[in-house]
Amino acid sequence: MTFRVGYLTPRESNIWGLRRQNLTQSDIGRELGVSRQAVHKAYQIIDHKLEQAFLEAAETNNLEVETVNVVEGVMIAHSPAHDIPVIVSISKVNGLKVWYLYEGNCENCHLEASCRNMLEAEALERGIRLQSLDKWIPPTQLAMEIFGRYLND
Amino acid sequence: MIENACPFAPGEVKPESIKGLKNQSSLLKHVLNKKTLVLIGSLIALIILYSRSYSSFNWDGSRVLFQDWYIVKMSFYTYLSGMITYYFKEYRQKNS
Repeated sequence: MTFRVGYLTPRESNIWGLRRQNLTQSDIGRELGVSRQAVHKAYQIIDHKLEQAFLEAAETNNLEVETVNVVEGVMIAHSPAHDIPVIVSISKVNGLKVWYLYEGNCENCHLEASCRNMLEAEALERGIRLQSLDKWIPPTQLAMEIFGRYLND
Repeated sequence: MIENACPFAPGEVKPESIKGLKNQSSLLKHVLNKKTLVLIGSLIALIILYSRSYSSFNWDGSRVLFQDWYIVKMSFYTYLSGMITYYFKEYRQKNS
């Protein structure tokens, strides 16, 4: 079961998306026609589910967790096996993804186009405006353009 | 300063395709959902039904199928009735 269908219900996913747009609990409540208390309760459930998802990802990929940002859906970790930093991301469009921070080689990769599509969709969901020049940089750099901002949080 | 991030670990063998990277196929799945298929199916069924029984009620022999925006109107009415049925069902499910 993937994150997209398995972790959050459609309503929770909707609330999480609105929260990422920096809307207040009252605003989200008004938008969805529910009370602020209901949104607050949903926040707690969402946070717990996302934390669980991140911990599962860390366990599966043998990662050491450093920080978890459930609002943005990003976990910073370290891979002892490869001795490199790792970013784990969760989004509605791409689900749960693990990003290894090292000099990847996109030149000979047959997945370059799919990777680029995935990252463009990720940026769109996160409200990150890509520069026109970003279309020419390799997906590995594009990934850092999107996820690098969470490293200094 | 690291400036690159890859969804594959160093030295990992890359598969032919991986789940989640196929945005185009998921887009197609999104467009061709149950609701759209039912609507398209009902429209085709209505057109076939109309074409089959065309001679039995077209007494004066005029080609009404292609006149007065008939197909466009029929498509619109089919879509409208489909949407009403869908939302009515959804409303009933929500309140049950």
